[in-house]
Amino acid sequence: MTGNNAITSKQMMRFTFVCQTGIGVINLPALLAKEVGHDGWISVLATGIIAIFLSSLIVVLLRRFSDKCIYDITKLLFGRVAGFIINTLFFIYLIFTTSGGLMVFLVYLKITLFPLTPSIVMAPLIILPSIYMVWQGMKTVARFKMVTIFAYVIVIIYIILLVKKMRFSFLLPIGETGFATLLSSIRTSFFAFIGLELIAIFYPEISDKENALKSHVCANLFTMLFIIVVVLACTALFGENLLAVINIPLFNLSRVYHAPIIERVDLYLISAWFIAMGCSIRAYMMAAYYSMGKIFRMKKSFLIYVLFISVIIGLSLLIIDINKAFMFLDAINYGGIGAVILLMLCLILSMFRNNGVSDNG
Amino acid sequence: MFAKAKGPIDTQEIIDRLTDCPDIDKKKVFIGGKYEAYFIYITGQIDKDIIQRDFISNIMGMELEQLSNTINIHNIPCCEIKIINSADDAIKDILSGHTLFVADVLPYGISYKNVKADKRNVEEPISEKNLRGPHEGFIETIDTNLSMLRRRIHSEKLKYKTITIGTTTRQTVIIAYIEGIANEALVNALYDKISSIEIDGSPTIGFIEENIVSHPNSIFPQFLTTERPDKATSALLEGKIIVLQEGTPVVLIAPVTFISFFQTVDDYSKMWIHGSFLRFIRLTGALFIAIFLPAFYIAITSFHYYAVPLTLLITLAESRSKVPFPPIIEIFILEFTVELIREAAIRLPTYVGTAITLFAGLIVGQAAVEAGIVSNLVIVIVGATAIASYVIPSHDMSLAIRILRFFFIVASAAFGMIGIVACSGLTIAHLIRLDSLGQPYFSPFSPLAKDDLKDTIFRLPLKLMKQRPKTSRPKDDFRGENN
Repeated sequence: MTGNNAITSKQMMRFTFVCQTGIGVINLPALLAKEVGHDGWISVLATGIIAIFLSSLIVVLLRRFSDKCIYDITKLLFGRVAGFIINTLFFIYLIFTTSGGLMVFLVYLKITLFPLTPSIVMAPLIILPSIYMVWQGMKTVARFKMVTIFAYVIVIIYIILLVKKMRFSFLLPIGETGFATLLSSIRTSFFAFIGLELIAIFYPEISDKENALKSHVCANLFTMLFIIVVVLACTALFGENLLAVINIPLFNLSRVYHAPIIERVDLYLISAWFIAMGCSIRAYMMAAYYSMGKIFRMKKSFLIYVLFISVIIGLSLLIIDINKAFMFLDAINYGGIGAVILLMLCLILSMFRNNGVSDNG
Repeated sequence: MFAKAKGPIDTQEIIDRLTDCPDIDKKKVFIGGKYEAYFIYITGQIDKDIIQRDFISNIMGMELEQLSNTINIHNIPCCEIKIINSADDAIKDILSGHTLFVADVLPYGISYKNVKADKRNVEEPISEKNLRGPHEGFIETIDTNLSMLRRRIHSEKLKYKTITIGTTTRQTVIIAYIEGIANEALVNALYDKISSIEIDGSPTIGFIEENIVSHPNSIFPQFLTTERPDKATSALLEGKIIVLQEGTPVVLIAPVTFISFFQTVDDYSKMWIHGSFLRFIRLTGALFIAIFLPAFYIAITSFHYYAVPLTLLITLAESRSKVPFPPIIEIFILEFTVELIREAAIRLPTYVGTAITLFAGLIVGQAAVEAGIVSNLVIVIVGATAIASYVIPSHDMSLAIRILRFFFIVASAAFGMIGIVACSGLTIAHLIRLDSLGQPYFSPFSPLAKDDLKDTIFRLPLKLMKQRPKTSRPKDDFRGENN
């Protein structure tokens, strides 16, 4: 544990929650509407339960190596060279996820607020707070998540305001899509839960490890509940048919309510949600930068940091078309599922190795 | 002729070192009519009548043998009398306003403290007025300030740690805290920080502040300054530490949080609902109007005009149609003018200041609109912004917010709402990163301290605030004995 990176389990909980929901929730209702119609919320519920189980398993297994992160564990399990290769792959995944998140953010900006401004101008501005915070360390990044919660409160209040406009008959009959389709949609729903693996990177930095399990389970539980609320609201407002053709349902949701005087609620709601999106990107950016130091044993260097930021911005500018950006995001999401599977594999394998296990492991 | 020096103090050395100091009097006397001796003092800093009556007459009534016995010295009926054993200490005492008696035939010097320096009356600080609280403020004399604190806290646990800073000025700096409430680690950390300041003098307390803050390049103040003893007392009771400096009425309070700069004594001298209302008004005014309003205007007129209700949009368009400048220039012209007026009003004498303000108000309010330099709406916005920034009780924080406003204006002119969001994110990130004497600056919001939230945006009833704020990491968490 180092001063600038030390966090509490509650901070890790907020970190995971914001990381999962910030970007994941934006188009998930539409994806689910395409796959399972109005039963998207059931898919999220089922996936949430699986995510909670996986999260618990990850923390239980990490407990065996209380002072080690996944990068140390892979080296113990597979040896230095193989461990290094696996860790590097994980790092690449984190870099691409950060850039992918930024890419999607830029695409959203182009669609919603700034159709004419070039992405190369917007990209540094969007991640400016992240650049500052990641340089300061995990503690600052995690503390900022507390501030982000207000964006979630605004969305929840907004959804409550829309209740009168919802048609709950759009949600019936429950379970119409069938078990097999629901089962296959779990893969899509799981995209929103990617981020649960990051605890394996920051676990040694958690100061109250005894609460880590409870907090991580809570993080996934809150993610599940929040996404269910958003999916239910979108489905009840738009209906499955319209929802399936909408690109960014959360933003369309923000245009439904007509408030007096404020005129365009969506401008403020989208702006508030951008904070959450920025936080989601920042979570991966922090993980990538922290991992870079761990894997390549790099000391804090301004020059390397500039290079790191340049790579992230550069990759995010590769695609500007919304459909291609979503394809890229899908690919990253599959990478995320792969990372979770790899993580689970490493941790399960570690059950059979006592080398490096902590005294209370 | 001087007799050969017996003791460690060489009279000639002291007199030589005080050459060309006409404000320092060196009165020559002879002990028992034989041995040369001196009373040395700063003429303007002593009460001559008392010195003659209590010190000089008693000393002169003694023979050399009697003066050479320290018991007789301590028996002189004066409050603060002490033995001096080195020329350096002798000079230090003289320059601090003490009267020194030295003779080469004596093995020591005798120092008597009876300082009567000119000092200001105790008055209410002009920059920190209040309605229902006490109306007295600190003054430039540190002893008076210490006694003001002691008068409010009748406890032996109120402790003062003294430090001398300034290699040339040798000023007294005092750290005040309440033993058993304040965290001693913080007290010691502050003591070490101030002790290590390498400076030839500290004309104002800002010299100390800038030398000990963890983030000197931040626009946000990290120590709270006040001239009010009641505010300092409240801080001490919360486990905070006070820094007083000789020669200034301003004291520093640490550790503090961002919200401390929006709290006033009046919040607590009224019923909690009234206090909460004022606090809410102050925070809303400061944060939402003083920082965001001009930026919102620019964002909406430049990028998001569709967010304005149609009726207002028409008025806005009419008002803007006569102005040749883009919104950012319009805002900058007016903001800059307001800042100039503000600065001029502070520096000028009251009667001139009033005239300037009136004259500038006329120009800004009417002539600028008629000349087509700015629109009517901008006058309203900048006026509201200026008033809102006056609402902030701390001048340091008010200044920080005024500077911050310019960043928001530029960001909104370049990127509209996204610029404001990015700038807000960066500001909050910076606030989260800051600390005051090692304690998180943006607490209780982040890191979250639920119990401390009771005294933030609203000031809840005092009976709910039995716990001291966690920011100061107090040794005793609860107020009172039975809690």
